[in-house]
Amino acid sequence: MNEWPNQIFHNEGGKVEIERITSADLHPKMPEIGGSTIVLQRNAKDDRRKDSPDMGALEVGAAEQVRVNAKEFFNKIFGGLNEEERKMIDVMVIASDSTLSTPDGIKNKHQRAVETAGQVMTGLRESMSEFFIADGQLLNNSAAQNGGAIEVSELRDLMILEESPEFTQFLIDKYGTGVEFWDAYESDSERETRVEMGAEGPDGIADRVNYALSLQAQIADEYHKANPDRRLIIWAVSHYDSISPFIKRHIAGIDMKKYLPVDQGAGISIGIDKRGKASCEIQGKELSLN
Amino acid sequence: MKKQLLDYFGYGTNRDLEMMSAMVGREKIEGVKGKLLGFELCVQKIDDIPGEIIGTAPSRLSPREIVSKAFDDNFELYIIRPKVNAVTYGTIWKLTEEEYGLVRDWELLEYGMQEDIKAIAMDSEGKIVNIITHGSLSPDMPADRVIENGDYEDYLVPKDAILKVAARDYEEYRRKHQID
Repeated sequence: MNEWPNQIFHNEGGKVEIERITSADLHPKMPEIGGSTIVLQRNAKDDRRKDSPDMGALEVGAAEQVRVNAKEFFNKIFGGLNEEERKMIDVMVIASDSTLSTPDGIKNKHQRAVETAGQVMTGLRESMSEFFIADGQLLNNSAAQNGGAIEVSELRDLMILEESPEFTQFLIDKYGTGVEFWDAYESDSERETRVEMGAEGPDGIADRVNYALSLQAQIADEYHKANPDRRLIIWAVSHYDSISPFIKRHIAGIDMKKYLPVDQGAGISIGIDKRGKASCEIQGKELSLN
Repeated sequence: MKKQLLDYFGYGTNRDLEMMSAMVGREKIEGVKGKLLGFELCVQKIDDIPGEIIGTAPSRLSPREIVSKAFDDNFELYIIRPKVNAVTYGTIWKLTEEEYGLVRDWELLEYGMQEDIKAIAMDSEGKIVNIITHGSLSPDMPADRVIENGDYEDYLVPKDAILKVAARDYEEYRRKHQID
């Protein structure tokens, strides 16, 4: 069992009743000067038809919706700043480096988080163009190859498929590769066996995502030290399997066995002020996260 | 056509140009000092190195066996593991895909000694760089000690010995993969 020290995001304010995370929870939260906003978004719907030549690629309509939503988000952000202030905001788009891998043995090179982030950047670039934001303010243009999404490993979805073949096979033998497999994994109903086999569970994923976001907060802090008087938005694309446990354990404080749907392309926004204080608004509730 | 270059973050011995040159067979490699955020630099002793043989291993050997044979049981290596607020100091090198393949070979990734990691580093001017490196994604990875600062020794074993083994491995890799 992995122990993740120094996680910084946790709502100590008690349980919050949340039934579902939707795209309405992606609030365009304006960071203050010296502060940051971290968006955590689930990848858009991808093609899972077994006979499809595009299996694993984003569905066209879903990809387009991500672009539209991202453009709207950034229009609100840039529209909330005057001409001079718009020169002092930077954006970085990161994504899980997961490739498609399923319990029934499907593997291909499609990266649904990276491809979703690509759509986010298309919408973002359109908004930047309309508001005359310089290309250099999208940090990906200098940080990543071809100005694409910055890929990070810690936002991956299920690690058990790659790293714990023994536990994966145990679940397949007992539950098959369909919905029962996922139910058993998500509810951690085979916890004892999982721990014995050293496989990552939902609690571990929640803590790993917390590490990933805490790390982004660290990067933001370093960035602000090197580039004072600016605002920063970090847009992070991950997956249902990682976002849902994180929100249950660290934001909503609800039973990890409870199903918490996160719509495809939906997510949450976390604000970090210049003193490092983090907060998040979900369905009208403002939550303090540290 | 010009080959696209990767930003490889070399830490520990791999932040040193001589080591990189021996490993990838190129004397001049462009590199700048940088820091990898959210990962701590650790030192593993031979017993900390994985002793299991994994499915992707090209031969029936564990990383520990390979390292023991090439060096001895006093061998130590640098490796990173995730930790918030930690920093690992190193060099951001420009490498080709093939050269990163040589690094992966040297670090025994196919044998499970380490894994590929994509992460964010910052160069000395505060510029963010999306890098590829290797290490552990488990915060519980066993280690003998943690290195806190950037002024650590590049070489944990005698420099001449490790450069010799790296140069020999480079030649073997070239022969095996029929690289000119």
